[in-house]
Formats: sequence, structure tokens, C-alpha cells
Amino acid sequence: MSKLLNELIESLRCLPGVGPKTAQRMAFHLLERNRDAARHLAKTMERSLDDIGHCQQCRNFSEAGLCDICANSARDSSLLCVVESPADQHAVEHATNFRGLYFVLMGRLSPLDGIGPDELGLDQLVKRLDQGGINEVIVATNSTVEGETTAHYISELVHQRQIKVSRIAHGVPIGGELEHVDSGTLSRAFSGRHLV
Amino acid sequence: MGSPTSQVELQPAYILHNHAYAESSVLLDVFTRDFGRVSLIAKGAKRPRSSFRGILQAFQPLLISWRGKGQVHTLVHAEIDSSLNTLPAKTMMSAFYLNELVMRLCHQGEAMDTVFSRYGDSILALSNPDVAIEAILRSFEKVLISELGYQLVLHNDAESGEVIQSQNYYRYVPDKGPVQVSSDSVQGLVITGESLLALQSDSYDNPRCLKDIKRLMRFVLTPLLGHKPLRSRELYRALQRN
Repeated sequence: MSKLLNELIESLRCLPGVGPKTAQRMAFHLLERNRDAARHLAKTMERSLDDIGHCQQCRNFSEAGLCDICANSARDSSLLCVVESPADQHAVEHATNFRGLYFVLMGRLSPLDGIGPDELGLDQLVKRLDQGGINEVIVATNSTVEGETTAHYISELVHQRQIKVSRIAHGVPIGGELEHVDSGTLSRAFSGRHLV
Repeated sequence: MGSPTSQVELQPAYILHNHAYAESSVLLDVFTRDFGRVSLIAKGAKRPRSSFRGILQAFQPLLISWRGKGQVHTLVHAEIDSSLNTLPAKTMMSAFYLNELVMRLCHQGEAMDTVFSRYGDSILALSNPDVAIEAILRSFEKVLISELGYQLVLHNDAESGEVIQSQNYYRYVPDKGPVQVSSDSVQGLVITGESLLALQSDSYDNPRCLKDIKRLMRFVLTPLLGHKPLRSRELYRALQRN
């Protein structure tokens, strides 16, 4: 195989879940059947890398200093939802009618991986809380041990500033049958029950 | 010649740490009763319908089955053993510290059942938010150090052989033990006889002794852990700062 082709295959392997075989298939496909799309991909990738940074306010990916959501004056700036990743933010945005603003941690506190408050930009979050104008912080980190640790720590930071803080609920999935729900979720659903 | 295929059924275990692996799998560092630390792959564990979902959480007493050859085996079954341990956020960081100690100091494939059972007891104790955290950590460290083969000397002076007196001061000399301060040893750290005796009898009520014991444990653990700092300890400190 030519040197350049090998290089292309190797480069494609940086993508998550792409092994040597898949990388080879991708390379052949792009070169043989879809050169225009490949060119477009290369250009977009280059432009994205140059232009996409982080929103100064919420840390999410953005080409502008402020992302579209933070810049949108119609959104309720008194509500702040804290999520772990851009994918989580996207999920919340699409599944709920939340119209407040976000703060994207780009990770979670992970003691054994050395990810601490600095890596998550918590100083930036604190600054934002101290600026005032926020009435409630909704902590929507994942329901894993690391996610819970992160949620606890953020809640403390918010509490200290006399701002209301809430945690998303955990429970039985819609359409789910109790019999098939794992015991952890079921016990959380029970302890977190609400009056109807 | 390849290594033999192993097959283990319903082994008591705790997950120490996990990493995302490929598209939807998880690479687990697991602490088991009969096999010590084991590396396992839980294939497809992140898929919505995976039977592992909600089960493969750290600090959870599990029963697991795996098979495979070589260093990394494949998890084939996992279920929650006994009741659920939901750790309060307050003690979570200490539980992470225990995990890091086990990961750093216990070897793969080497059974350490005393450490395993003490680990389980400690995690269970940490599920009570009002528990005396320090006492749990120190007594776990003591068991771990002794099971690693570095039994602490706490009842006799390492030089004179005399019984430790609570009013005396001792210097704890690495690889040797406590030596009364009047002797001319220069290395080591100074600790009261009272604290040595408290550690020996696992009584962690006196705050002054507890402080001494913490220093002693850190002193003994540091050479075992090597130069790399404990990340859970660093994070704990960073969180305290804010």
C-alpha cells in the first residue's frame, strides 16, 4: 500500500471505535466512491479545528464568543442547568421544554483519573453564580458515582451562595415495567416518590 | 503455548474503576475475593438494553462471572449481591481513596481475602453518613499494610524490646519499628506510645492519637506508593479549598 494511503488509514484510527479494518474500509470508500464528500469533510474539519472554541459563558463548543443559546436574549437567564457534556446538553435541550441557560462541565469529577474542579471550569461556574441573577441551578450530571460526586460538590457551591439548587429525578423509564427495572433505579424511584 | 482458558462463576467482587472501551463497552478494574484484582471487559455495557446497565457501579457488592484467557477476561454475568450500597456524597471521596489504594498496592491475580473482606466492611460502614470516616480509613490501611507483608510493630520497642509505654515518645523507623526517642536514631517520625497502642487496639476515639496515626500511616504508605501522588487525596484537597 502506498505511504500516503497508509497514513490516511492510520489517521482515521483516531476516531472512537475505529480499528484498522474499519479505517481501511473508510479510506477506500472515500477515495474510490466519494472524493467530493471526502474533500468537503477535510475542509470542514480544518475549518472546525480553526474556528470552534468554547463559549465564554457556558463552555460548550462555539465559533462565536458566546454560543447561540447564551446569546439568545429570549432565554431565561435566571435558570442554569449544569450538564457533563455537549451531548448531554443536546439531549436536555431536545427532550425538555427547558428554556434557561446551561453550563457544560466537559467532564465529571473523577478522583482516580485526576479530573478535579480546575479541569471542569468550576471557578468559572462560581464566578457566574457570584455575578447574580441566577435563581435556580439544576444539576443534571449523570447518575454514576462520579456524576453523583460532581452533583454533590456543585450543590455545595450553590448552597453556600443562597441560591436554590435542584437535582434531576431518577426513576422508572416511561413504558418500563417494574419487574424489569434494575434494583438500583427502582430503589431510587421509590425513595424519590412524589405526592400526586 | 497459550495460557489456559479460565471460567469463574459468581465470584464476590467490587468494581474499583472503569474506562470506556470502544463504542459501547467498558473496561473494568475489579477487586475479587478469590482472584484479587482482575481486568475485565463488559461488552456492550453502555447499550440501552444491556443487562449490565445500572449494575456495574463502583462500591456495589456484586457477584460476577467471567471467562477468557490472558490478562483481560470477558465479563459474562453480573448481579447485585445483597442489598444496595448507596454511598452518601459525604463519604464518597473516602471510598474513592480506598479504591485507589487497592488499585495502586494490590497486584493483579493475587488473592487478598482479608483485605477484600475489610474493604467490604469499610464500604458498608461508609454508607452511613455520620460514621467516623478517619477511623475506617486508618483501620483499612492497617489491614492492607499488614497483608502486603509490612506488619507494623506496635507493642514493643524495636531496639530495647521493652513494651511500649503510652507516656513515652517513639521514633518510627522504616522496616524496623518504634524506637524510644532517647536512643540516637535519626530517621523516622516521632509518635507517642499512646498513639501506637491506640492503633494496635484499633481505638480511634482520641483525636490527638488519630492525627499521629494518620501521620504514621502516610509515612509507611508513601514508600509503597512510590512517587506518584494519590489522585483522590489531591482532589479531596482541591475540593476543600473551594
